[in-house]
Amino acid sequence: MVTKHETGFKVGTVVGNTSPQEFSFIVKSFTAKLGDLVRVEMEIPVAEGQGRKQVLVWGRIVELGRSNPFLPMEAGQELAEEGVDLISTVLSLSRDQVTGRVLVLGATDVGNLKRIRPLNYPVSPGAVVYLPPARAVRTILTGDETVHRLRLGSLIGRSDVPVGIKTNAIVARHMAILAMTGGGKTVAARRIIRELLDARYPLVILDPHGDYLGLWIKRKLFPRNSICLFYPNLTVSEENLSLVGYLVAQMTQGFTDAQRDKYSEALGKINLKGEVTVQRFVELMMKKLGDTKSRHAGTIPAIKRALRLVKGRLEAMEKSNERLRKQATLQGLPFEPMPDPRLDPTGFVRPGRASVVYLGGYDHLTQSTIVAIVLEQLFNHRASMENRIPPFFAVVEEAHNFIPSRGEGQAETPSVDVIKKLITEGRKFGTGLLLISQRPSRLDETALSQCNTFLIFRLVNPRDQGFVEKVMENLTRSDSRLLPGFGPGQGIVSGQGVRFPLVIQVDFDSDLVTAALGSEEFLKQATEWEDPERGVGRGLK
Amino acid sequence: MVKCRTTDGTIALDPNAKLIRMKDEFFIKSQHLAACIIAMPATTKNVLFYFEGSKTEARVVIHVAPTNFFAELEREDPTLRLQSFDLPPRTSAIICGNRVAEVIYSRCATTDVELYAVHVGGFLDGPHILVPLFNHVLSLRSDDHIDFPIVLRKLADRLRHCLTGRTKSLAIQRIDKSHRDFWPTAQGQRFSFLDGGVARIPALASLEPMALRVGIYNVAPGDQIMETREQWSLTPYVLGDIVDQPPHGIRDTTDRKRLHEAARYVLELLTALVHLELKPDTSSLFIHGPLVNQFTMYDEGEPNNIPCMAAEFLASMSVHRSAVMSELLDIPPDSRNVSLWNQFMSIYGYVTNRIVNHARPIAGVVERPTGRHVTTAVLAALVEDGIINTDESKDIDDLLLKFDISDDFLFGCILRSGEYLTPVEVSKNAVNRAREHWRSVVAQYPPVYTSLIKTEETRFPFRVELNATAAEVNSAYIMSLLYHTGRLLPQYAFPVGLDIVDKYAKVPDWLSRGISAELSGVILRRAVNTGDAGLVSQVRQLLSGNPRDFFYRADAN
Ligand SMILES: Nc1ncnc2c1ncn2[C@@H]1O[C@H](COP(=O)(O)OP(=O)(O)OP(=O)(O)O)[C@@H](O)[C@H]1O
Ligand SMILES: [Mg+2]
Repeated sequence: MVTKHETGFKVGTVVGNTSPQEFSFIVKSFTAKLGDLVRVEMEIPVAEGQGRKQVLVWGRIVELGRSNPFLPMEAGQELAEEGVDLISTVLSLSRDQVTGRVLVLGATDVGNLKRIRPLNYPVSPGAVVYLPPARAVRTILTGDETVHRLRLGSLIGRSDVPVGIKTNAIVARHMAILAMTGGGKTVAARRIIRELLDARYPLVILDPHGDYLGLWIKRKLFPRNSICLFYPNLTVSEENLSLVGYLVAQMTQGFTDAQRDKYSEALGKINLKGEVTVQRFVELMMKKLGDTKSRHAGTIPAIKRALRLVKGRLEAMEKSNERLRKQATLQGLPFEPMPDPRLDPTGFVRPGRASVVYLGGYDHLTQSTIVAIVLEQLFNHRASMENRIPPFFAVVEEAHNFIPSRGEGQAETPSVDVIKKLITEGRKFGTGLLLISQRPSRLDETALSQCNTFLIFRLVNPRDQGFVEKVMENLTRSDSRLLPGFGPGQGIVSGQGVRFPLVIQVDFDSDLVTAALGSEEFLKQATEWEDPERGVGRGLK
Repeated sequence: MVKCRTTDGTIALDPNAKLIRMKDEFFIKSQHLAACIIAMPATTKNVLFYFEGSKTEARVVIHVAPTNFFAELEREDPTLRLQSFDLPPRTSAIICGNRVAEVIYSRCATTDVELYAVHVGGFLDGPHILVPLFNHVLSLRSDDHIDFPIVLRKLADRLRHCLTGRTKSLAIQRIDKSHRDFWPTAQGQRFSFLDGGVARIPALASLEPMALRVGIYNVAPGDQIMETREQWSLTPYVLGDIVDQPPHGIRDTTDRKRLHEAARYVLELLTALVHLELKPDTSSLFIHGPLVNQFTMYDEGEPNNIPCMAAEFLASMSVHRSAVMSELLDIPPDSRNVSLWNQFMSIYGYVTNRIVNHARPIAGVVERPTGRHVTTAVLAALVEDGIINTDESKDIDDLLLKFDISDDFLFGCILRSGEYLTPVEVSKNAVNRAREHWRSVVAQYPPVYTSLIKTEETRFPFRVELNATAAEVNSAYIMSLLYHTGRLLPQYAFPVGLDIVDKYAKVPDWLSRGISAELSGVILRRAVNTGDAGLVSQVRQLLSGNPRDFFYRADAN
């Protein structure tokens, strides 16, 4: 005897033509919602005419439509002309008919929900559709419950069914979070970071806007972790002697052949022990260039001009980064210069550590260069198998700036190659990536399609929707139709991290919210702005 | 036929007017017309004669044009070049089949809609009427093809004339369309709409359907609470349950089609009676279909072999032998001298009498009123009231027969949108059509008050059959309700409440499709042939409303 508790609620009846992939059903009023997981019991044939057996078919409601066949449209018009309410007439208003379309996820045995197989027989019309109880849904969603999962949130409209993603699937096989601005990317990323911190998984967070600096402020919540805030500190050593030459090529018009010859000549004379800052390196080069002769009078001064320009730019950006770090909201945060990822990788990556690299103030090229250096060196440490650092997970915000598509300037983005390398070989070496972007269509398609788990929030731009549909194999049309309607934190998670695509509400960690950070209270700022002519302005009132 | 307005403004009609040819000249011979012309003021300048017709039939509308008629026309549209058509005429001018004729006609027609019977043109040209019209015309003798529309117009003119203000007992009534005024009067009332549907299984198309269901939509306009505002019920009946055991049960020779019709007519009315019993707050009840049908062909004799109804089933519907016997006198016995009180013929007589004499208004609505019941009754009443004499009536009757003109076409032409006919008593069951031993019972089948109402100019009118209460106490209100509910479905011109219940009572396709044909075939045949109660109940489950109720009813489990 199956109790109601175990079978769940009747929510409708299968109607019309069905297939093993999908079916439609008439929904009992106000019982099922879009995105709900539903269940149908039916018989399927057993191998080679051995009879049949009972199975449970599981599916997800991907479309809902509502109509009232008893309410003719013309009646509404006729009455509207005279301003009479429908309710004062004999028209029927109560018989709305709600039809749902269900995408079949698979079938299980009646007694064992853990193993789900593809359905190989059409769903039977007339069958009753149930909304299963939370426990059954949980089993269906997770299958093997022993695997480590990190909790993301719950099914939309079913807060009693938690949704987690397989930790291993994302730390080794990457994940992408895509949404228009305000969709909830950062909130979701913080959720994932928090779960990984709890597991003491090493994290490297590349943070252009300072969205993650609050982790340090909330460090009390993470007693088993160490959270470090770094600012960029570009250094030159024997391994990356070409760095400054690269910056010259990108920041200026580049060297002529004659200039390049002379530059190489001077570079050959330099003998670095350990690492030096870029500024120091430029000074050294200037000196060596001073000793170098040239046939054309203009060659050496031109090289020096270019070096001075690069030095000046870097200094300006350092200043600007510093100013940002000193602003009121960030004051008191213990920023340190970032360690050399080659010589001191454990400064970045060690169990329990989260290294937040604050990139604010740097231009696109330099941010990308920094990210390239950090990831490249850390990757090399993993790839060399010296076991100096454990596996780690890197969070890349504004990923479209670091791994843009071909049309969006891959050539001027030094981080492209290394990110591609991490994505393709991350599985081997345990270097996972979390790519976060509000412009999916500007991301490199191949890199993105190698992410194995996706979390997609609200997207209204049709190009972005189309792109996401293309990149994610198991996202259906009806799923992508949901995207523009999502509220903050509502989205679809799909891929290897979950058993099926699920429509979820991401948990909001209110305890991670820091008042100072990411506040957009510009009205308050403007009204309290000091008026140079009249002292403190009262501004808007 | 001549039609004109007399000086006192009323319309005069001379159906006996004739066109006479003398040598090369034609004359209209009409006393009415002569009287009209004599009465015309001497200042009259122009008279328009609008002729239409065929070789043998003609109709002329005569219209006194205002003095400045042609001057106005000329001024409004100089391109007409009226002079070249000799207009205004020196003596007389013939304008035929050109633009000038059209302009003049449409101008006159808009100034005197009634005289030109403009609505008839609109009706006959309506897209929904044209096809039936063609079909009808093609079914006539080819000589009559051309004459049909003009004969129809002339008959419509004559009857409309007779039915306009001539007698109190029989007239065309008008309803003013105003949802704003009407619906407030409906607040606080409760209306029921009833329709039966068959449970047909497509896979078994060869078999007549063996189950049917009667749906009722009960609604209280203005009630804000959906649960009380709208109440729905769907009662399934399985044929095996309602008919008697052998020897009075179904035989191999039973005409199944007829049995089904008989069952449907009886069950709809029985369900209506039970419903009114259960819902005493129902103000009036509307049935999709006639209140009383022709029922003389559902007897137990060859070749119909219609069985008796099961006494047990009847009892469950509160119909008992004693009540039937006291309602109907002279119920015949069968060959073994057992009273046929529960044969369909008797039960129908009992049920129709209870419906017709019910204290609450009950009306049946028939979508496309073919047949001539109403026209025949109207002619009889007109003769009785002295509006026409028997010769005229016979004359009209002959035309109706010759051109096979039915109520739908004739009253489609007679009535304008929003008009209906005073309900007239109609008896559908001619005693002499019944088998000898049933005649006394058939004689007790009640007549119903019957009306036709048109809600849309270009749609057929529908027939309304009223019980005595509906006709005598509040026919105007019932008709107005039907009109306003019809207006809510303008494309279809049928009361929306009945359309709703019609959809509700139909078995949805998917349900039938879901049933295994083989299985249902077996069960059906056994249920009906063996009368096995278990199987019958399975059939009921198979065909009853449950799945549909489940998804249509908000409060179902
Ligand atoms: N899971 C959630 N539950 C409730 N509210 C949320 C959730 N996620 C986001 N929000 C709301 O939306 C706001 C924006 O979220 P978030 O900063 O994560 O967006 P974003 O996608 O990172 O935007 P941007 O592209 O501007 O960085 C949050 O401040 C919060 O108010
Ligand atoms: Mg963000």
